[in-house]
Amino acid sequence: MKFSYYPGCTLHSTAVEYDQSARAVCEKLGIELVDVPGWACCGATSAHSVNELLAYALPAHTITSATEDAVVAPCAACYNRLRYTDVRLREDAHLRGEVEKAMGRPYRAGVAVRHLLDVIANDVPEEEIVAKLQGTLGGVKVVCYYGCLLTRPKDVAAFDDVEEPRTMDRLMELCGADVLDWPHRVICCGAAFSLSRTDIVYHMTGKLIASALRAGADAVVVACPMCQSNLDLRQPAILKQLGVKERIPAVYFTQLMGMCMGYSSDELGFKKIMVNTSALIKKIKSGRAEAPAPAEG
Amino acid sequence: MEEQLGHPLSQCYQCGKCSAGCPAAYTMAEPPNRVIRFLQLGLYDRALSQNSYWVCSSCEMCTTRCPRNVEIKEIMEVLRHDAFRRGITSGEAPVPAFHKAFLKTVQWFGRLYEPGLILLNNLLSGHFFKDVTSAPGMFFKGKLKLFPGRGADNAAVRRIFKYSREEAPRGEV
Repeated sequence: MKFSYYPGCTLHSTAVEYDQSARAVCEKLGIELVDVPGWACCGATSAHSVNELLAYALPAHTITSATEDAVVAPCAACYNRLRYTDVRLREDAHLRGEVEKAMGRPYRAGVAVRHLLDVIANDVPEEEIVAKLQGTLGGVKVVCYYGCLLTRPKDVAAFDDVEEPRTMDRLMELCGADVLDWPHRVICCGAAFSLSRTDIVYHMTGKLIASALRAGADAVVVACPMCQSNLDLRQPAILKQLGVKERIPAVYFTQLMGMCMGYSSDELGFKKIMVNTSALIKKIKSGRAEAPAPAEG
Repeated sequence: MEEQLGHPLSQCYQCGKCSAGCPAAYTMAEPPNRVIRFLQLGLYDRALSQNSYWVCSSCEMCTTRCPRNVEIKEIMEVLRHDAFRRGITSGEAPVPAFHKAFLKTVQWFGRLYEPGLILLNNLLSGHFFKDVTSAPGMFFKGKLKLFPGRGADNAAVRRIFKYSREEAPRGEV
């Protein structure tokens, strides 16, 4: 399987651990990733907030630059913008004309836009994933957080249910995690306001963290670098405000999958997470020792 | 009004489901269903003179749940585009200031450059030292780079910006 890979800006900066772990897991699963040459920022969320044409032309540049027939984005915001752009440009000839004038070249229609979670969970047969697992997550308790953009809009991003998505839950269960139910899987974290109205992020992300702790989770599993940065970077200040002493790491689903595929926590960038992850890693390892996976024995 | 917005409004029967699910409604002067009501009544200026479209996080919960398929988030965006063009901040000046800073860094470097964004955001919003304390921690974790990354097709990006801002006929797209 060969895909064009659109890491997006954050995977080259604040979310390098997502990039590292995504590449590692894809390599094990036989998913070949080829970087889109000359890719540019998708503009989320500022471009679609202020200028409609810009909001379509920036993603269109990246889609048109892709060398393969499908482009995979690990970031939920990039995925949402690229996919939405592709749908709109295929149905609206006038808009497409304007975008092509802005780009100075024809738009390359027919490139499938996929999210990394969708590709890993739905293109690789379950038994092939299981065959690559060398260890389990040792029954560690997790809640899966999809955030707002991964499954929306409902007719555009159609790989999972819009209110009750389960793709990530299924992968985590496959890896031997104890996946808990919780009510906040698709509630927005307030990503766009991280720098302008930080209080909104405190309010929205605060609810998520409190809910995850209430559920009794050891970690929040995410598939979006915006969600991760709000849940992780802003967590100490949020929990201080709420008067809570506990901490809960927000980790990428690829990092946890990588843990089961024989990679070390350093190779998967666990140290780059601001909230301390050593208790989580310890718990995974001790859980494994108590109940070794059948694949290992 | 429907023509001006490019989105139908008449299907909305004011059930309020959008406002009930909106995670930002708590900080809006007027919740989403009331904004739609203003527009149904032709009170465009009333919709534009309050803050809801600026604090809308574009999460699409409203559009997703609307039983009448009203594109509420998209309508919020139409209001935002117009307010941005006309310099209307409705008491939320830091929000458009952030968008301006974000897009400037993308225009210059083709990709987001966080230290530049934080600096420019703080200059434009007037909160000079906001988030400066968290920068060293991120830097040592290797999450902030001192210099902007390379590899973006800068010429293509500049062309897109130039056309979108200057040459595109207003209101046509």
